[in-house]
Amino acid sequence: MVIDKSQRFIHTKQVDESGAWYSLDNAGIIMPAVTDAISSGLFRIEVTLAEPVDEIILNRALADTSNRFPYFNVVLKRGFFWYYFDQCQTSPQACEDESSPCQHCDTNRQGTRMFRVRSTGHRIAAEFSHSLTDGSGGMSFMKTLLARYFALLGIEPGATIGEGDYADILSVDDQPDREEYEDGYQKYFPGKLPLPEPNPHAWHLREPRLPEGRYRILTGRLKLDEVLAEAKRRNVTITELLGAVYLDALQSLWFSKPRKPRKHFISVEIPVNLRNFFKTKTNRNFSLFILLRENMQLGTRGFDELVKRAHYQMRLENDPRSLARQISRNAGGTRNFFVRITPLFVKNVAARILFAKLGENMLSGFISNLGAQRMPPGLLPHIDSFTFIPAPSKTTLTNASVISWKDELIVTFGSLAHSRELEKLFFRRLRGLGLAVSVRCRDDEE
Amino acid sequence: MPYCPDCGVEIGNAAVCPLCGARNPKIDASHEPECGDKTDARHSDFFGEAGAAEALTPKEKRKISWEVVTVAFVIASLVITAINILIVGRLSWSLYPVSSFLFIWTMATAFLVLDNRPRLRYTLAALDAPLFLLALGVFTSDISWAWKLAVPIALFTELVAFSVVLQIRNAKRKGLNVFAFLLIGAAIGCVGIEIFVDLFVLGKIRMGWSAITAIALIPIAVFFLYLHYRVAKTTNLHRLFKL
Repeated sequence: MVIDKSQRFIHTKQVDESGAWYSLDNAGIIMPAVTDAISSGLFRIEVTLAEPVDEIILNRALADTSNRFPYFNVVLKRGFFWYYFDQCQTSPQACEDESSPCQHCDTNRQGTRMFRVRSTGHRIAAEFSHSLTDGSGGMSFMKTLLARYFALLGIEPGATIGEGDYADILSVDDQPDREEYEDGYQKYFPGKLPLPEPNPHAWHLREPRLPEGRYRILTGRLKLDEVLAEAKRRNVTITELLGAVYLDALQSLWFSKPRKPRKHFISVEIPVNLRNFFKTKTNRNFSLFILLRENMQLGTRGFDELVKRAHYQMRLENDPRSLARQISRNAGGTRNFFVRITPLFVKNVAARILFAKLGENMLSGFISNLGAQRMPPGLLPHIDSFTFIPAPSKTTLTNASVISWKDELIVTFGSLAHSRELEKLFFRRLRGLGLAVSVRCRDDEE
Repeated sequence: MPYCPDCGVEIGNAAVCPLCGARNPKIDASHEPECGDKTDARHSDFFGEAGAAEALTPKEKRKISWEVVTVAFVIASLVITAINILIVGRLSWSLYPVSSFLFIWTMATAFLVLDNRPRLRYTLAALDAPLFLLALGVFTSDISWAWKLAVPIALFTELVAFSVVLQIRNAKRKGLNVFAFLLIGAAIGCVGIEIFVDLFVLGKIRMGWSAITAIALIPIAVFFLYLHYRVAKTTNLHRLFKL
């Protein structure tokens, strides 16, 4: 395949005598250097079905779906200058699910697929490496898998998939579009722009960790209409409201420390789906983030004040021009000739430093909202719930993710920390706002 | 539906509130968990209360080991010193075992306790052996061999070992490259030792046995690296060298 020079950074796929291979996208390139078996970089989307999962049908559906998403069915390989993805020649098989998700999987190990599908009882779960895709890409895969699974069971969707509300559900009969695996950051590279404002190092929870291999999942369910009404009453979005609740919990933890922490900024990262601003069909990573930040040296802020400030911080940063500065810095770096000719082992060292400086050191935690999910009407009675589980992090220890399904808003905390104090403060605050909250911890039940 | 009395959240049939650990008020009060009840044990484990010993974290285990080593060495040192003073009337031979204990204890402190202070840990570990050798020099009333020979060799060996460990740790795929790094480390180590010995004994460098060792080891290491990074990895060259 001959690629136009101007397109060389955008189109990730190449084919040679050994088959297809893909470059990593601009966000994915840093991940192999900073992930391991615990901070696995795996996030998870899981679905609870009304009926027990049929393993044989699931594996057939998985084979069809991975053929439709060949750019997901890959393993990581090391080149001399860059990592790349090598196409797998076989279809993945679903494996038995375990109580600690997103653990015991080091995608840097040779031959490890960049995603895995697991199932148990009524549950189907897919775990994706952030080297491969983000929440939107993972969700598109999961919905396509579900649609195929139900189709093989003879259940009609009752609507046309692949368009309108169901545009992210792909037909397994179609061929993959080139845009689906393009590097969106490079496609919308805006040229040289001023660097984003530097961010101070944020305070991190310093708690004893759970034993290695354990990742606690604690899920809170709220009524979507109640949360929407509360957000509307305050003239903010649900993400802004939940971001403020997270800041409030962090603030309480910061001030509860017997000795004043040295780092006096608390900061919550809010991932932003760039597909909302820049048109692309890509299922690879295409998201950036906004930081909600508070300086604890200025004293305790009331909750109403935090909500207002979260709202204005989001409004200021959540626009294409501000986000373009981040794209310019990140994508520009990988276009730089001297960066490109630097051997991978040197890049890995630099990646770890950059990730520490511009990544996790800047945030105390993140809360990622995948938004409201829709499935065709014919499938609705067969799906009980969706859950979105954040990737584990040894730096922030506890993070949260949010998803809305039917009339519920589901907030899931993933934690490597022994303490549940952050989760407690978060849900107590929501309860204090008069919202009904139902909480479960999978580790306590399984 | 049952609610946690403290958090106000609905908790279903969970034995305790997942957030604060308060007991579920709707669960029959007469159902007291028996000794070793699974739910209760898990509860204790998660909230870090009694029963934590059942699931000690590696850090806790290391701290306990360090405490045991400390107490044992303190007792042993006191006993040895007392016997020495009782028999000889002054500190003499006991200085050797006591300084050895101190050497081991410092190393144990560095690696068992100082998890969160890597700089201090490695500084202590690096200084431990040279200081121990200097102390032995002082005890033998001839510090010159320690200062001119033992300490340089110790520091040099530590530097080589550290470099080799760093290389091995940073290698994503470990195989023949590990042997190659070890061989290169051994070759450099031999050359260094001979240089320090020559300088101490002869006052000048006259390369002999270490050069022969290095000439033998380095080509083998290079061959291992070649096998590891080029041959034992089926890949297309364009992929490998894509810019």
